Amino acid sequence: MSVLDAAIVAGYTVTDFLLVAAAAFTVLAIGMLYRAVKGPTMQDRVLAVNVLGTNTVVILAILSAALGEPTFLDIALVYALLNFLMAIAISKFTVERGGVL
Amino acid sequence: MIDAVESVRVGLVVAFTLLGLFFTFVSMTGVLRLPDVYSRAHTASQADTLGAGFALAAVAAAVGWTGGGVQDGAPAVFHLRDEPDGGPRDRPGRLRGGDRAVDRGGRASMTGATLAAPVAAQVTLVEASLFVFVVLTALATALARDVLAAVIVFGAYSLGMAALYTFYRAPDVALTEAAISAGVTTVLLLLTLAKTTRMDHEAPFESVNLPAAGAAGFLLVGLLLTMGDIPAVGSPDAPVWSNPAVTQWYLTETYAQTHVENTVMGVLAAFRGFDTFGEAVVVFAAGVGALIVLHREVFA
Repeated sequence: MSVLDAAIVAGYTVTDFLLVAAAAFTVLAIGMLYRAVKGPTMQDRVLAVNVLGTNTVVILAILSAALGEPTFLDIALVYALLNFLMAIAISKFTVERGGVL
Repeated sequence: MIDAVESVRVGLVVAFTLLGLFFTFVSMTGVLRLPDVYSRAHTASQADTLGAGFALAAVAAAVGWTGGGVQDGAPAVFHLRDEPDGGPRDRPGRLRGGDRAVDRGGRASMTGATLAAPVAAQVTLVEASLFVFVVLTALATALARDVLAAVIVFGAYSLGMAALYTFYRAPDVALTEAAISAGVTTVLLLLTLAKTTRMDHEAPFESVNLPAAGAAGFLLVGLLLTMGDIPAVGSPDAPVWSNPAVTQWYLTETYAQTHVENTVMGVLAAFRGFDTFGEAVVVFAAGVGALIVLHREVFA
């Protein structure tokens, strides 16, 4: 028995709680999306996508805990690394046209 | 004693998750409402990092405490839910050593009709919020007038898709989405932009061509109408189970015939090798196209 199904309070398990938390983080991501779409500057958009990326890493990690699949944490790791790469590439592109990497 | 430790741990998970949600909410408020990019960057680097740290601590408390125990515990979560209808373990033709099939089975019974009501509601909650996020980012990508803005929002779209694939227990597809969409596609699109010109636009959004949108809408409705005939994931009525002898033949004979351990890989690379060869030709053509765009003669 793991912690995920050990604590059953009024029919709700930790799994249920983590799924709700993942949904709440997604709702927050939808809020941040406004800044990515609206801008007004490219720096705002890069910043918003960076925050969204951090948020996605958190969602992926919570999903891996909620679904009981610790190996899914690898996806969060890959995403954290590539999100960094994406932010660097876009930032460099906006500063010096043509220099991507 | 065990109970005390477990309840402390559950309390830690709940407390860290709530703290993470709170600080992420603070960060979202800051990113949305602060007046300029510098203060927004500040809230992103402080509050958002704190929120992510707390949320990841909650995940660590949930999965990382007992080491191997979590591995044993994971199927138990499903087993708990599977009791009423016998669960996936009794499903005919369960794949030998196929983790994916077991996953799909467990997942299918999670969304099954016999499920306890509260769980079904929360599963829908995660799905629904991810769907909203994905649809919004897709619309913004399609309608953005500035190409660079479209590229950036498309990065956000891939974030949502990766989370959705993970939720549907397709980690391989999610990993590919993360690697291709967030990493390679963004860089390739930026390279293309750097080699071409980017127009300045007054309006932030593209004007919608109504006849085209109507045609696309009809196509979408037509495609959605076919969805009702697709069998549920893991359903015993699915066509793949209608002929168990064929399925079983591939499962037992793939290694003997192709010496590939992974059945899916064996089917892809050997049994339907000509199809895969056609796909390889498409990829080759795309590579040649990329070389032409980049004005190079070799990938170096």
